[in-house]
Amino acid sequence: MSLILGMDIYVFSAWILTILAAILCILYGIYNEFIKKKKNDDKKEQKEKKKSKPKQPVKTMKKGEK
Amino acid sequence: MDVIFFAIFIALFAALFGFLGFLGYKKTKTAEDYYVAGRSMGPIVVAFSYGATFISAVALIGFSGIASIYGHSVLWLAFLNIFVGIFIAFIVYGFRTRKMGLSLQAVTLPEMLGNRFNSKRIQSVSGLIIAIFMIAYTSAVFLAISSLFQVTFGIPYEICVVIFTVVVGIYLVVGGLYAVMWTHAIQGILMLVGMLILTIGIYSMLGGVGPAHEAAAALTPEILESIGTPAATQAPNGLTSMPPFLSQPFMMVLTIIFGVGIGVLAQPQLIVRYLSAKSEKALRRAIPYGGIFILLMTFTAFSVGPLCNVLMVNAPTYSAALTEPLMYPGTPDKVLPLVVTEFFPEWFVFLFLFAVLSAAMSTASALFHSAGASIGRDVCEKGLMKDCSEKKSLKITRIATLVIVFATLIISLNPPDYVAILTSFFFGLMAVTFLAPYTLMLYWKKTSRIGVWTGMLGGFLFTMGWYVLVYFKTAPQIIGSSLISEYIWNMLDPLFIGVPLSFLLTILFSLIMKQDAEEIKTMKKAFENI
Repeated sequence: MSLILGMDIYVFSAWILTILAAILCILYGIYNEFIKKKKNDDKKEQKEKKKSKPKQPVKTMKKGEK
Repeated sequence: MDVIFFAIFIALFAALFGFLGFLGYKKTKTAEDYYVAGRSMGPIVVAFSYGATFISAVALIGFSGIASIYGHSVLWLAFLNIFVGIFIAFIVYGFRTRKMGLSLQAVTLPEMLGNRFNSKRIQSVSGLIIAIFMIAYTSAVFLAISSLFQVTFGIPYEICVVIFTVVVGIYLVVGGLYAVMWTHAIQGILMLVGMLILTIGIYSMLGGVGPAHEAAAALTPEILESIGTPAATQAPNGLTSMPPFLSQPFMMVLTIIFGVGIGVLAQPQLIVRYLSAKSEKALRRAIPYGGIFILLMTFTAFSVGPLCNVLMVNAPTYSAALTEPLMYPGTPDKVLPLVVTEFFPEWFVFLFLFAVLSAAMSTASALFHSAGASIGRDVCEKGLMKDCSEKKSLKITRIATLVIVFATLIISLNPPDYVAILTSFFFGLMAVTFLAPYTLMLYWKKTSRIGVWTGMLGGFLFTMGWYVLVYFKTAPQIIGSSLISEYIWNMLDPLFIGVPLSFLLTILFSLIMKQDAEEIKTMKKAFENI
């Protein structure tokens, strides 16, 4: 059987999956710390913008006005 | 190695931990402080404490020795340790456990079960099961580390046991979980540094990852037999290949991988770490730290294990002091210490011993703490006493922990044969007994008290029965021989049958014997934050 980095395919799979699992943990951390946070921040910002937009004065019709 | 030099460092080590114990004592005002460090721990401390509790000296020395026999196929366990032991454990179990623990005001796994199903008996019985088996497991950790120090320094075994137990006992009883988790952070750093240098050292000696693995692959059974290692028969396809499907070595590897890899999900001493986190954000942040920590512990230990054989076979090539190949030292747990002693400079031997000592102390302190909490909080306070004040509760647990430490000391000084047997199935037993009730408690609102009783006791009795009557390692020592002669069955970890059985029993009996009004009330309370 051919070897990859000196290991057979099943052992190499375990080897590479272990490293990938650690990378997954790191990516999860990065996602939560930066991307998800940024998304939440953007949402918050949009909400705040909506809130801070000056409301158009509602025109009320005066008596006799057409 | 200079024993006096070593003794000075041990004294400094003990003084530092004693100081952290004192700081913990100052910070511990309530029972919640003692049990779950006031639910105030940050991500790095949580991650390091979880990792240092998870990875004991047995994992570092014992499993690297096992890898030296079964080869790199054991790396599947490293994968499960990170993917299941960290990623799944935190995301699927950690967040919910923390939230439910807060809602139920629970500080231990038995208390969560007891409060969720409105049953003090569930709490007391599960606490008792945990405490009994943890004492035996802790004794075995001390037994292993004391034997290592006896071999390396010639210090009498009894003195080693007394020193380790007293040091851990003092900072634990005085400082509670604060002291335990802070010491874990320091111990974790020592473990990281030790394993990192060891791995880099061995791979650089052998010329890098590819050449090192190729050198291991080139070791034929005949060469391995020449140094007397069981790897000659246990790794028939070579040290870097999986054993033939369903062969005896394959079944052994399968049992090791799943017994520990899945068993990690229901370990009471690890569940406490979720409860101690200050926020869900802290738990989320702990995941990358935990992943890296376990990678640098188990992945490195399992990777260098088989490579020890290359160094031992070609000893004169890698050490000028050696003229002949090194022979297998008799047991797997002596392989890595032998390689470190023979091929590394003295300063590293010293560092490595402290790393191993840290691994042993961190696991032992976590086990003492969980066992003390089980006896003090779950059995005495909730099971035997009525209406206990906060101050009294803390006092009871401190006394209970002291009793546990003392019991462990006595067992470690006169270790009966069954200690080793109990240790070998600690992880599996905890998983089969608690995984189904714990998982369903978190995710299925219809889980009932009777369902949990049957799942928990069914799993426990099945596992005990399997170990006594069938399992190839334990049955011959208890009843003379296994009742099932086919190795495919008697080498199978009870977890494979026990966990599905426990799930089935819990679900079936929850559907037949539904929750009463009180249980529904506590269920609603448990899920109010989820």
